[in-house]
Amino acid sequence: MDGTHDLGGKQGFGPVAREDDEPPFHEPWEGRVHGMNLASDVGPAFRWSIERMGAIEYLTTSYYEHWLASMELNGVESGAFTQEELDVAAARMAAGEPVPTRSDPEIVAAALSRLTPHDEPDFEAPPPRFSPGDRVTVARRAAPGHSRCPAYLRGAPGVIESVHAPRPILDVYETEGGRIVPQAWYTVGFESTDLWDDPGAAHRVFVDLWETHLEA
Amino acid sequence: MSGSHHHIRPKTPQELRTAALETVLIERGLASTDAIDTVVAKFQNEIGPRNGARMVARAWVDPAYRERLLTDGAAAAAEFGYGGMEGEQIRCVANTPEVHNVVVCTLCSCYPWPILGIPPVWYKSPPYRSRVVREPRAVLAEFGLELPEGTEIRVWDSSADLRYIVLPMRPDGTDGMPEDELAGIVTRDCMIGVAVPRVGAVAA
Repeated sequence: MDGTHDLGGKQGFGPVAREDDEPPFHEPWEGRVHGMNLASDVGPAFRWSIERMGAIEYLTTSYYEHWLASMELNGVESGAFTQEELDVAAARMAAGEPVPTRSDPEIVAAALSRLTPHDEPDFEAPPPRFSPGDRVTVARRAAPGHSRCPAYLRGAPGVIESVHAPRPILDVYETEGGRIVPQAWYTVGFESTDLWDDPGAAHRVFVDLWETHLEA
Repeated sequence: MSGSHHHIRPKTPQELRTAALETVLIERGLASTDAIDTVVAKFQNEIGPRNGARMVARAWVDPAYRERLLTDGAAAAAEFGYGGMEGEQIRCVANTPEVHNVVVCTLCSCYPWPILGIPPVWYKSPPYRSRVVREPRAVLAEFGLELPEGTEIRVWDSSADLRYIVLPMRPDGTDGMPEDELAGIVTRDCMIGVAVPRVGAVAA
């Protein structure tokens, strides 16, 4: 999706604002959102749901507001809950009702397992088309759904730096309701001078791209 | 759990929406209060950049660990018990006198949670995400990092399932320094690549 989230190389955002001694969460609600995201599974379209919040909204809200918007949309679309349930709950909260509490050791155990080392499944896919050192071109065409190919690379020449074991391409997984399409993916190196005409620029950018994103 | 903030009445629109979502997840049985509390506590107390700093310090004193870290970052993290979501696959890229590495996620804010914790707001912000791939020298200079003209800068845009950590160079003047003291000079920013370790620095 050609959304505002796709920020690489965009200009006009000004200096990077930093904060000393930043806490993990600035407000308790941010921690709750982070905790809810890791303690539940409301659907496969986490990033795709952020990208559809709207350009102005995206730029004028915080990281955890993005997550909140994502969990709301993702959950409604996947059928985990309905918009009406959210609206009713919001009205109850606005009327002063506290958030209900519930203990569930199984959900605690599942959340903890996500926060500890675990084995990843192996995926079967056709053999990789490219090998380290191969020259490739990033596909120019853009897909309407979620994409892990940043727009600043479209049409750019690059060189395969390394080849990785197949993983489900997230473009399909997020856009098509969790459909698993394993595919080889690569770390691809780009010369900054092939991407931008900025005077004095001379660095390299390395980006991880699935085979779908590349042409010979 | 000590943090009974979920009993505080929500006030702001963000608090209201968060409380509404938590209510629905709890009542649907999709989440539990104790699971959410557990995750919050983990990120507040255990999962943070001290984890990555311990790995860096180990790599500085133990060449065999350094080799394992550069070969398979996730396996090297698991040696310390670190791992899980957003750290299933980790690649460690080493700074050298010729090459300086810096990490970003231009599309969202991908970050190796198990070893660096929650990313700082600036890492998730449009200025950093838009600029560091295009003008890394200018961005690094804003962070106070002026690199020699001949240094090659490599920017790693974490756009798939691999998360990145920078292995900084061990600074001069640290000969004989014990491993835990070395870990103390490795800041989060050194492992993102917007800073380099300095003797006397206090790690955040």
